[in-house]
Amino acid sequence: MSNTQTDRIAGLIFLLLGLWFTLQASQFEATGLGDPLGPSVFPLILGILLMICSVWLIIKPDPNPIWPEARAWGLMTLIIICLVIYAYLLKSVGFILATTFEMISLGLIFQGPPLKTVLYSVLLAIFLYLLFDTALGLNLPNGILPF
Amino acid sequence: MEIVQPLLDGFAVALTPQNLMIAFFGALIGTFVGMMPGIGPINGIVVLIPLAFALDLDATQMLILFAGIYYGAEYGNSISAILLNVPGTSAAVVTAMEGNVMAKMGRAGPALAVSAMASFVGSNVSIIAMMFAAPLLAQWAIKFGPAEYFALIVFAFSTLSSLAGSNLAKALIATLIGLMISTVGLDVMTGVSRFTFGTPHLYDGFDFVVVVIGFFAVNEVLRLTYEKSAEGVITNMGRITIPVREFFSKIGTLLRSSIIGFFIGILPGAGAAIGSFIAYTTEKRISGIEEETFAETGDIRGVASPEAANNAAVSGSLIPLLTLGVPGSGTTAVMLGALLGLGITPGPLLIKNTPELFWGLIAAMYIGNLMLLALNLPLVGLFVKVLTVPKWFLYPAVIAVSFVAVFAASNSTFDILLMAGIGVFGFFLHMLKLPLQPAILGLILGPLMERNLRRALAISNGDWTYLFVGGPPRFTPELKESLAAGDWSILSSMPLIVLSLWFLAFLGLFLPSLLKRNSAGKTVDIPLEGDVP
Repeated sequence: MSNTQTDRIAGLIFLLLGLWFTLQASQFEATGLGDPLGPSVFPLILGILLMICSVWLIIKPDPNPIWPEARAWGLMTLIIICLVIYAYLLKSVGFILATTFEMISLGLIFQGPPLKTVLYSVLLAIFLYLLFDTALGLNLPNGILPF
Repeated sequence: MEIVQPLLDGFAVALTPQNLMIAFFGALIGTFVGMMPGIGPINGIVVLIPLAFALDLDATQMLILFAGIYYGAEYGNSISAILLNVPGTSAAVVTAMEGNVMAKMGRAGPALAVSAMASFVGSNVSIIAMMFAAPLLAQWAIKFGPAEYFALIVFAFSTLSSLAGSNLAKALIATLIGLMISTVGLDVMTGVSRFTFGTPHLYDGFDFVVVVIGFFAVNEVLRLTYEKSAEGVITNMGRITIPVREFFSKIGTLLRSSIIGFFIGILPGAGAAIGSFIAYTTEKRISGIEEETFAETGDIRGVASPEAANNAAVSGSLIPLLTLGVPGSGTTAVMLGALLGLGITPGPLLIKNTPELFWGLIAAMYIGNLMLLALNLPLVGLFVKVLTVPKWFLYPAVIAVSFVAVFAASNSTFDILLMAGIGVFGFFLHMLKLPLQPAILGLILGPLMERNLRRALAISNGDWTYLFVGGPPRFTPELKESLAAGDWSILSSMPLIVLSLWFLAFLGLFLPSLLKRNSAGKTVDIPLEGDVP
């Protein structure tokens, strides 16, 4: 019983999601010409099917997964924080500086040797900018750098 | 059926310097993403989509590029399978088993040679088959109306869900989540806003590029924090050759496996991974060898068979994409997304209306495979060096390139944050063993499915039985009149097709048990391409 609780909890979450989805969908109202179904029936079907499958999962769950250890969770949180900072930096300080930051921080998280990581990060950020912006014409943000 | 002239025209398209270069880069990128464990063709393709738009590639060039990545990956995946015992993509699971035994016996070089040559044979056999099969299927599908399309999409979902992972309930939940995400945004037909939480960012719905990169690239990087990277590359390969006579003495195996792979590839849901698996078990049964692997007996068929089959399956899987507009796997679904983005809706008329696209692709595939053969044999030494690249070198760069792609697609910080969030969501789905491929298929096919459902119900004036009867795709006044008079005969002109599609969809749910019987009692989890084994 207890070694299947993860799937049961997940099933319950999906069940609630399905319920919410169904309730939301039932409120869409509009009729188009030649569209007897309207915008609500298809999502309604999806929500109901999700509830059925969730109940199925709750009744027949798999054994619990092996969750990663605490250290990995810490690293994952760090990575996500870096990605969020990267996303905000992109527009404000520009592609090259933001990417250098991302490359260095993720590189260190994955245990790159510090000096090499920094050097590689700077070079790759410049290279990617030259490749995508200068050579291939994607418009990457310049930010605070003059180029 | 005219084959020669269109094929020559196709070569005229494929042989322009620009298209040759595109085919070359496709093959090269494909080999690379196929080889790296954890990255598959779906990553390579999705990252290049915004770039392809920015470079103004036309539909033909885009297909040449993406197909090149797709079959190039089936060459590359065997390199890590043989040298690392880690399949680069799940289509190389069998190759990893057999090839690593050969490598441990000091025959890594011959194993690599067999793999490249068998891939080449598989590709060529299947491209020939594709030239004949695709126009035939298109001709047959030309009569499809919305009811047929709806049933076909259900068929694709049922087979992919039943084959992905070991728990059908979970795969169905994944499919439904993908479909649900696809309904977010302003409804195309009525303009009603659905599940947008009132934010304009979501009016256009979720960009599939954002979702796919979140699911595959971000999720993959998160998993690196606890998954051990492969160690122990076999660098002592010996000469990368195989005596021509030894190779061609297995021509029966090569042809059989190519044909099996091709037909499995056409089936929705069953791609290169399952093709290689079935071809291999078939050869095993025919050979009567009792050892666990062919390789122990010094036989190259164990590598030749899955490698011929997985390349053949690639061409097979392009057929439903091009002639029906209904892809059967995550990777082909992403290709459909790219084509739709260009305003091209593949379907039964594609070959007829834009022959240069279809035949140009065919020709480019011949050329691309020649390039791959030429690349793979001499450059393996270089690829081995790439395989040993440490995490800190490769994955921060993967993230940076992914960000470029998402930023180029939308130019919005919101989408990048969304991508990170979806990556976390994908990670939890992965931990719960919910397969991600069906979710991608649901996301991309969702709008098509809903549109066909609504069109079907419009034709039948709200009568749901039409979905099982099928019939003419257009809602004409005469049709309306006869329906109003209660005359249904006009609809049931070909109920056989739609009914057999529903039957197939139902049967698809039981495919795994059929496959397991086929593998002689052995229960094997068949991983799907793109999903990391």
